[in-house]
Amino acid sequence: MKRGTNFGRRAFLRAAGGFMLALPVLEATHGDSWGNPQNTASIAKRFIVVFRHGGTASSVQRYPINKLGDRLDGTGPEQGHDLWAPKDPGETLVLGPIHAALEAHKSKLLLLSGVDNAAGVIQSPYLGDHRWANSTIMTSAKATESTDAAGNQIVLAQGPSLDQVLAKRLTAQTPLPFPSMNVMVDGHQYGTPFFSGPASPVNSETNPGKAFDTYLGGVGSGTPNPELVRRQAMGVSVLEGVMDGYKALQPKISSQDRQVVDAHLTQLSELERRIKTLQTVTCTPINVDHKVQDADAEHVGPIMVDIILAAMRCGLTQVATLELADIITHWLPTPFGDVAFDIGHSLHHVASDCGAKGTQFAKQQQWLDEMVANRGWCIGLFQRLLEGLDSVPEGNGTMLDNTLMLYTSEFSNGSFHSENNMPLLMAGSAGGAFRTGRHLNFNTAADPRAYQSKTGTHNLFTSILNAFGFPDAHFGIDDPGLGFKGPMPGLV
Amino acid sequence: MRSLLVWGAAALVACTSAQEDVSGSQSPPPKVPGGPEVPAGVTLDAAPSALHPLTPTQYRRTVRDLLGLTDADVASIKIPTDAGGIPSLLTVSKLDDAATQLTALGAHKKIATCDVAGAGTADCATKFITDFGTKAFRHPVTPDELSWLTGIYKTARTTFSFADSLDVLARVMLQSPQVVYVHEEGEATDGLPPGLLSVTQYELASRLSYFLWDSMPDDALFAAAAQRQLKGDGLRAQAKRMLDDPRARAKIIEFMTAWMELDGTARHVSIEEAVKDPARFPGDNAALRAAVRRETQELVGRVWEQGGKVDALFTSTDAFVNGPLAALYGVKDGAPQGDTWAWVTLPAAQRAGIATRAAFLLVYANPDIPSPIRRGSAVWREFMCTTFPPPPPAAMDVMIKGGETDPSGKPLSIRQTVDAKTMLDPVCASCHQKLNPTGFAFGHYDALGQWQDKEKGVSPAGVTYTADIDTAGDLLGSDVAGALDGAVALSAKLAASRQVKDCIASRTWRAAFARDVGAQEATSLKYVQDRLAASGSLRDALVGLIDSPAFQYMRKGTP
Repeated sequence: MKRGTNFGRRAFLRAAGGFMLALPVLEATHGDSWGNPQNTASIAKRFIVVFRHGGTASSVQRYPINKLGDRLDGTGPEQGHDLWAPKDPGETLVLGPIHAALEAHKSKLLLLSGVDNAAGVIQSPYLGDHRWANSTIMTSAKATESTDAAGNQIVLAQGPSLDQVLAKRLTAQTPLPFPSMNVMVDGHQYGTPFFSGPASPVNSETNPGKAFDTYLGGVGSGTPNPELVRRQAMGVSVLEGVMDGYKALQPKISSQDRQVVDAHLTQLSELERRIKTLQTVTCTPINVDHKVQDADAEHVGPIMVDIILAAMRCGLTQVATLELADIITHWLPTPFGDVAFDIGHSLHHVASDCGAKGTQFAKQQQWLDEMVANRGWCIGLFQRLLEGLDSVPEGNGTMLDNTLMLYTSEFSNGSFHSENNMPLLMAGSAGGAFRTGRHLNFNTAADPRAYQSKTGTHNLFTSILNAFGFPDAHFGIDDPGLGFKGPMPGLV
Repeated sequence: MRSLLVWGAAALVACTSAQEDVSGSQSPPPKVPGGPEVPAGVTLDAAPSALHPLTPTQYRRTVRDLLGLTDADVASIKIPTDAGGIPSLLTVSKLDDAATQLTALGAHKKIATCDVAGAGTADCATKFITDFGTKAFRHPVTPDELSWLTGIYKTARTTFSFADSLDVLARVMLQSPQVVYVHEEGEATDGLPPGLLSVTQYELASRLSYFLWDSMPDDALFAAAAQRQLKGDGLRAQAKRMLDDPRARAKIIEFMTAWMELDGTARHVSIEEAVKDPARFPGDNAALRAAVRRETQELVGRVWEQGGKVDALFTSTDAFVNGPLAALYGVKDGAPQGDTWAWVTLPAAQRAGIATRAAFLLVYANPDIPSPIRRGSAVWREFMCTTFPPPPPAAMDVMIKGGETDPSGKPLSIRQTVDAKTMLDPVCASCHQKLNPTGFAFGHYDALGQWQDKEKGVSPAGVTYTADIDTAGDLLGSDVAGALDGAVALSAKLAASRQVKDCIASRTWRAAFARDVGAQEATSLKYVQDRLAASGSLRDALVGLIDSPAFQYMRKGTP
C-alpha cells in the first residue's frame, strides 16, 4: 500500500513557495491531431480513465437509519442526498450537483446508474474493503490477498484492468510510443485500480516534471537533433545490454523468481520499443509555461491533464489513466472545516454525523457544500481533459468524439464502502460507438427508493472492448455470482 | 443487496484477533550429527532463498557507497516499490533513469585502475569491467559476466567514443540484476542435509551488509568473504564490527521507525504529514515535527549505544530536545532554548520510552483529539504482534470529537464516548474490550503528545468543556495481562513482556530477508527469541539471527 504524500493542509503549506515549474507543452506540427482528417477510418480511438480514490457521494444501500442518525445519501428524501445521481431517474440527462459544471457538454456525456462492481461485491470479505474494491473496479478480476515485502496485507487483482487490455491490443494494431500513459495526483489511497496483468499493479508517475520528461521529453521537433539521436542510440545500447544480463539469469532461478525476471525483461523491452517508436514521431514544442508555486494536487492535477492532452495530440498514445488520490481540496473554501479530515474519504465518513439524528446536523449544509466542492474538483479535471480534446477538430468531429473517457471510483458511497451503483460517467463516444447525451439507469426496483440491479461493470467493460473493435463476449472473472455476462444493453 | 445479510452474519462472530504465528509449528527434521556449527537445540535448516529487489533505500545507499557519493548526491534517486513484487514499467524506467543520472556524475570512472580519460584501449575496458563490476556486483566478476559485458563494450565502441562506451557499461551495470536484486545461488557443503546449501561467502557478505547497514558490503567485508572468513568466530567478528559502526545505529533507527510505522502506511500518516488542528496546537509546525522525529530517533540511537536493551526502549526518561520540544514535554530545568539541543530527563510520572513520546502519540491520534482506539490498536499490532480484523466501514463513521453528551445531556469524556460507541454492541465489544483499555492508558497525552491533567476540548456543539481523565483499566490477554493505570504503567508491562520481545525477534526476519519466517526456520526463530529474552538486548537478537542456520544456509526455490 502506498504511503500518503502531500497530505492535507500542512503538507500543502510546507510545499507552498517551494519551486516554480515551467513545462513546455508540445503541439502537433500540423496544429491538428495525429490522425488523418481526410480519412476517418484511419482515426484511432482513444480511451482515458480518470479514477478518483475513496468514493463519490452516492448510495443505494438499504441502510436507511443507523444508530447514529440518518445517512446523508441514497435516493429519495428518507435517505438524504445523493450528490452524484442525476436529477431525473429517466433517460433524459439532468446533471446532479457534482457534475453541474459539465452542463455545456451534456450532449457528449453518458451517465450510468444502477451498475454494480459485481466482481468486487462477490469477493470483498465484508461490505466493501478498499483494497478489494480497488483491485476489482477496473479489472472485474479475481483478487487475492497477500503480504508485501514491507509486511503489509495487500490485495492484488489476478488479471489486467480494462485500460491495460486496450493498451496492449491497440498497440499491437498501431504501435505508438506509449501503449498507455499513467499519471497520478499523489496522496493517500489503498492501492491502484490499474493492473497490467496478474498481481502486477501499474505504478503511475506522480511528479509532473518527470511525467513531462517521460512522455514528451523524447519527441523530436522535426529539425535534426544529433544530440537526441546520440542519446537515443546510447539508450538502446544500454537496454539491450541490460536485457542480456536478465536473460542470463533466467535458466538459474526458481519458477517464482522467474516471474519477476520475466516481467523485468518485458518492461526493458517496452522501454526499448518506446525509444525506437519515439524516433518516428515528430511534434513541435511550443512554450506554454505552466508556472506553479508548489507540487501539490491543486497544481499537479491540471498539469497532468495537459501532459495527457499534449501526448494525445502528438499521437504518442491511445490510452491514458489519471489517478487522483483521496485528497482534501484544502485550497478551496472548506465550509465544513478541514482540520478534522486528512483525506477526502474521511470527509464522507462523517456523513452519518450530519444526518438528522447526528451530532453535526447543524452543519449539514456546510458538509454538503464541501463534499460537492471536493468531488467537483476531480470532475473539473475530467472537464479540462474533455474540453482539451473537444477543442481539436478531427475527422468530421473532434478528438473527443473519437475518445471514450470514463470517470469512476472504487466506491459509490465512500462512507458506506458501497460497490453497488458505481459512479460511472463517460464522455465521448469512441467514434460514435455509444449514444451520448443520456442517462441509463439499470436499477430495476419497482420502488424508486429501492435498489436492485443485475448489471455490472463487467458488462460495461465488455461493451467498451466491443466499441474498440474487439468482439469479446465477457470481461473479467468467470463466476456465476456476477449476474449476466456479455455487453451492457442500451449503450449503442 | 447483501449488506444486511452480512451484518447479520457478522453479529455471530467474535473478535478474531490473532497473535501472528511467530513460533513455527512443523515438526523439526532430524538434526545432522557432527555437521556444521549449529547452536544447541536448533535444527540445521533454512528457507528457500527468493530473489528480491533492494528496497528504495538500499538501492540509494548502494549506489552512494559504490560510487563514493554523498547522501545529497543520491537524494533524488527514487525507485518506486511495486506491491506484489512484480516490477512495473515505471520502476524499470526509473532504474534506467537512475543509471543514466548516476553515470552522468562520472564517479564510476574513478574506480577503474587505468586511464579511462585517455583514448582508451580494450584492456582498459576489461579492467573497468572487472574493477567496477566486482564492486558493483558484490562478487568477483564471473567469466560469463565478463564475456557479457565485454560484448556490450565491443558493440558500443563501434558507434560511440571510448568514454561513451564506458558510460554504456556503467549504465548497464547500475541496473543489472546483480545490483538491483538480491539473488543467491548458494554452494554445496559437506555435512548438510539434502537440499540444504551454504550461502556463499560473498552472498553472506551482502546478507550482513543489507541486514545491518541497508547498503552494500565495505572493503573489509569483501576481504573477509574473499578469504572465506565469514563463518564461526570470523562471522561473529564481522557482525560485531558492523554492529559497532554508525551505519548499524542508523539501520536500527530505521528498523524501529518502520516497526512503529512512523513513516505512514495506508492505515495512517507519517509524523510529518499527520494533520493537526492549528487552532488547538498553535505551536505546531514543520520544524516541530522534524524535532519530534529526531527526538525518537535519538532515543532509539542512545538505547542502541547503551546495549540495545528492549526494556530501556519502553522505560527510558532520557530525551534529546530543543526548545520547542522541551516546551512540549513540559521540561523546565536545564531545558535548551530555541534550536539548541540537549539531553534532559523527562518527568518519570509522565513519560517512559518510545510509546510516550510525541512521535508515537501524534501519529496515533486524530487531528484534534487523541485516539484511544488508534493508540490501543498500535500497541497490540506493533508491540505485541497481535492484529485485529478491520473495523466494519460504518465504524469509521463513528467520529469522536470529545465533549459529546449522553441522551440526558450530560457531558461525556472521550473515554466515555468511546466506550458508549464501542462496548454496547457485543460484536464491537469483542475487540474493543482489548483495544480500549490499552488506548485509555494514554489519556493524559493530547493529539500532539502534550501532557494534560484534564481533558479539554470543544464539543461538537462548539462548547468548550473539561473532563477528568481516567487511565485505569485491565489489560486483557498477553503475558502481562492485568490491571494497569496510565501509559507509564503500560510501558513497564511492555518492557517486561516476553511477547513483546518475541514480536521484535520475529520482525527482524523481514529486515534480514524481506519476508516472514519460513517453515524451516522455526527453531532458528526460537533461538533468536530465547537470546533476546535472556539478555533483553536487541543486539543479541541480531547476532542470534546471524548465528542461526536461517542466516547462513539456504534452499533453492522450486525450479
